[in-house]
Amino acid sequence: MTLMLHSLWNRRAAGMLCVLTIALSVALLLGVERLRGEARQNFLQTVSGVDLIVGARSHPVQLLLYSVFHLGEPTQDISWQSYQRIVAHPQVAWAIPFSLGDSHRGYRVVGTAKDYFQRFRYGQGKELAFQNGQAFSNLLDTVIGAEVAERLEYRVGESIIVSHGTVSAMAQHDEHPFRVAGILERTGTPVDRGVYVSLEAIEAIHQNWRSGTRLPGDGRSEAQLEAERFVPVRITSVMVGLKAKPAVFMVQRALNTYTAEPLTAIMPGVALQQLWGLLSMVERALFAAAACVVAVGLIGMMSVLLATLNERRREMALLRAIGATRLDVFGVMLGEAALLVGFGTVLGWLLLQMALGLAEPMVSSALGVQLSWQLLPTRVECGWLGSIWLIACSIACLPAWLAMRRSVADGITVRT
Amino acid sequence: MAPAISVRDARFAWPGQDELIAIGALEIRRTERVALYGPSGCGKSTLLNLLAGVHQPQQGSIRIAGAEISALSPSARDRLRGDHIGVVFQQLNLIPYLGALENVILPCRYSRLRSIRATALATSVRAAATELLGRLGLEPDFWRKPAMTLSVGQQQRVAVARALIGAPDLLLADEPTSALDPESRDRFMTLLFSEATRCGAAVVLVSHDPEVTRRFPRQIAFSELMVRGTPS
Repeated sequence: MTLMLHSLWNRRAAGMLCVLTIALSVALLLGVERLRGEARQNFLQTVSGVDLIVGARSHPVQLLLYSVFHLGEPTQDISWQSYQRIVAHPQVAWAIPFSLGDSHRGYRVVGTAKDYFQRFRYGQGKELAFQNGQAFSNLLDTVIGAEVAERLEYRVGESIIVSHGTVSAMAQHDEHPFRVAGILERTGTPVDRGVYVSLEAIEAIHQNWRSGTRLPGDGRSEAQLEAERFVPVRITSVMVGLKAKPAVFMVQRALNTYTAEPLTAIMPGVALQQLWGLLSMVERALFAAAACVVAVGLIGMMSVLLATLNERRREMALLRAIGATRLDVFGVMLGEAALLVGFGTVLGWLLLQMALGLAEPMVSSALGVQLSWQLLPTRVECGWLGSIWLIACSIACLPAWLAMRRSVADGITVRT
Repeated sequence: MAPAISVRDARFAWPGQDELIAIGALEIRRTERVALYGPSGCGKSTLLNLLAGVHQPQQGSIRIAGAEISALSPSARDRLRGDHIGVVFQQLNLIPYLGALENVILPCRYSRLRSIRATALATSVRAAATELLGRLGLEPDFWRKPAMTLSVGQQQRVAVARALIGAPDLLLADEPTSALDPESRDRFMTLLFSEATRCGAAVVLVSHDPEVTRRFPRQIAFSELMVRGTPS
C-alpha cells in the first residue's frame, strides 16, 4: 500500500491528470443523470393535484399538449352544458373550465375561472402565488405568468391588447384592452407562459365576431360590458378534481362514454408519462454522450498505465528479486489503477456537488428545474460510482497482466 | 544443515535456442564465499535467474536451502527466494521513489520469515534496518531521502542492507562494484563481507574484475562450471 502510494506520488503529474480526467467525466455523467432525473421529475409534476383533464375527443397527448402546455390547437370545443354536467357529477369536487384561442405577442391567452389560481398545483403540490397584484376582479382584468411579465417587461396596471387567434399579425381585439391585475410567481412550468383572463372576458371580446372576423359597430364601453352577464357557450378543456381519488377510473370511464358529446378524459400523470416517453430519445442521447466521455477518461487512464509499463520494468524485476510473486506484480499495477480511479470518482462527486451548489440558483431560475443539493450520493449514484470503479479496475487488468507477463519473462534481471 | 544452494546436472535453454546452461555439479555451503567470473554474454544473468529460483532447469535439480525448486509452484518459488536470498545488482538496485529505509524494509513486507528474523535480531524491522544502514555507513540524514537522490556508492550500500535484512541464507551479487571507483569498491567489499559474516549468509558474486574475485577463497570460471555433452 505504501509502495503504491509512493509510486503514484512519484508519478503525480500524470497521475493527477488521470484523476482529473476521470473526475470530470464522472462529474459529467452524474450531472447528466441528475439533471435527467430532475427534469423528468419536474416534467411529470407539471400538473399535480388535478385528477382528470377533459376535452373534446382526441389523442390524450394532444389534449395534454393544448390544455397544459398551450401547444397546438384543440380540434373541437366542448359545450358549456357538458361542463355543467361534469360539475354536477357526484364525485367531482371542482372543475375549472378553460377556453383557448387568442394570444398576446406569442403567448397564449387562457380564459379560465378565478378558481384556477387556488386549485392549480404543480411540483409536489405547490400552489400558484402572486409576485404582484391579485386575481382578476374586473371583466377586462388579466393575470400574466412570470415569463410573460419578464420578457415583455409588464407591470401591474399596464394595459395590453389581445390578438384574435394564435398568429399575432391577425386581427386585434384593440377595442377592448386588458389591464394587468396580477403577475404570478415563477413556477418553471407552462403556467409562466400564460396570459389569463376570465371566461366572461373571452365571451365579451368575441361578442361581435363571426368566424374569425369582426363585424362592424361594437362601440360599447367596458362599463357597458360589465353590466352585461356573459355566459360562455363553448370551452376547450376542463381540469377536474375529485372528492375521492379511487373514483378516478370510474369518472374517467363515465366521461369517455358520455353520449351527448364525444369527450376524452385523461389522467395528467399518465399522459405526461406518455409524452415523456416520446422525449426519451433526447434523454438517452445525452446519457450516451456522457457515457462516452467516461469511456474516454478510462482510455486515458489506460494509456497512462501502458506508458509507464516500460519504465517500470526494472522496478518490477526488483520486486520479484525481493520475493514478490507474479501475482504481487499484478496486484501493484491493479492496485495503483484502483487508487487512481478511486480518487477520480470521489473527486468527480465532489466536483459535481460544487458545480451544483454554484449553478443551482441559475438553473432553477432559468429552467425552473429544482436541483437538490446533497452531501452523500444516493443509492443509484453510489451504484454508478461503484460500476465506473469496477469497470476501470477490470480494464486495468490488461496493463497489470502485461506487466506480470513481462516480469515473468524478465525474472530478476532486465536486459537493457 | 542443507547447503545454501546445490545444483546437479542442471540444463537450461531458452525456447527454440541452443542449450545455454549445463552444470554438472555445484554446491555452495552456508557461509561460503564464491566468485564466478566469465566474459559477458556467457549466460550469466540466466544463471542468476536459475540460482535465484526464477527460472527452473529443463533437466536436473536445483535446491535452494534444501528445497527442490522444480517441485514448487511459481509463487512458492517466489516466496522461497524472498525467504532465503538477498540480491544486489550492478546498479539501479532500489525502488527510486521510496526512501532508503523503506527500500531496506521492503523484503520483510514480502517475507514473513525475514521479518521475524529481523525482529529477533533487533527489536523491530525498522530497528534492524537502521542498524544495518548505520553499520554500512549511511548517515541518518539520508535514510528518508528517496533512493534516486543518493549517490551510486550510497545506493549500493543501501542495496546490501536490503539484501541482508532478516538474515537470508544466500547473498547473490551481480557485478555490484562495477559502478564504483577502486577506493569505494574495496571499502564496499569489506563491508559486504563483514555484514554477510555477521548474519551468516553465503555469498555468490559474479564479476569479471580480478581485483574483486581475488578476495574470494573459492573462485570458479564460468567455463569450468559448464559441462558439454550428455549429463552423467
